[in-house]
Amino acid sequence: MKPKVYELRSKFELGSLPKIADFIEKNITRLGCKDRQVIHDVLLAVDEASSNLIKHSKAKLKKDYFVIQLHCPTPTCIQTKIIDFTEPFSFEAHPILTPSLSVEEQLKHGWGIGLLKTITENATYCTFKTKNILTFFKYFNPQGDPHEHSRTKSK
Amino acid sequence: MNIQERKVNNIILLTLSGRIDAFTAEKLDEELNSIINTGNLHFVVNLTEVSYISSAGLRVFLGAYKKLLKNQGKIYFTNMPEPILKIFSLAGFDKIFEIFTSEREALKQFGAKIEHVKAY
Repeated sequence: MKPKVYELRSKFELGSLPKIADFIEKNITRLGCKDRQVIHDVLLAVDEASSNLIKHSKAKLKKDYFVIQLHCPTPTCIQTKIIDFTEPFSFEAHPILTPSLSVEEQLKHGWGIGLLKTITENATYCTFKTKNILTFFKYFNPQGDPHEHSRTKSK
Repeated sequence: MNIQERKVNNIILLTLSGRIDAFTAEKLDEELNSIINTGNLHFVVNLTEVSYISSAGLRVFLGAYKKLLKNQGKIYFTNMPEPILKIFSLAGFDKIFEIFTSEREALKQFGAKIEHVKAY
């Protein structure tokens, strides 16, 4: 059976960010992920990618929406795709964050996409003739939230 | 995102809840600046109910930090959930901000009289 793909079409408005976060929170648990750290990281990564698109792509839109897809290619992995139909940006120009650098040095490259690359696995950005696809993964324990388990144990 | 404001002595305690994204960060920026502009320079920000802070939120705190630094003010953070603490650390914020486990600890650092402050 083909794995279930949850999809949201979003407008290019910062006011859409709460709706995007609601979509992620609702469907990531449907996909079996209860790990609070993983949910946090996917929420934040999608927020950063969406904010980047909304803030920087408005003048070059080929379609007035972008697409967020969430699915599990394996029972322990969440794959997120963000598909847009705008001019591509330079994904490589944003390095992963290095905690040893000062805040000012980190800021030279901007934080958003660097943060996304740092908190997710195998983040890639592919450009095609009519669209761009940002893909990233997060791995989780399908048995539950390891943080919840450690909290319970410590009581 | 919701912002609750209290004042203990001359210290502003802000309890934030919900998501701090690029949309709500504007509201946070306005709120912080409006408090700073009225001459309040000591802040304790409780993040216990915050689900995530995006880079836009980090920029707001960095802007407030710079403004307060110029005016001999300070901003402390408390009750930070683990995922947010990780983001602060990745961004290098743990090097410039002081982070406490409770409001009481942060207020002590400011030298406030805290007998009447509830433990959060």
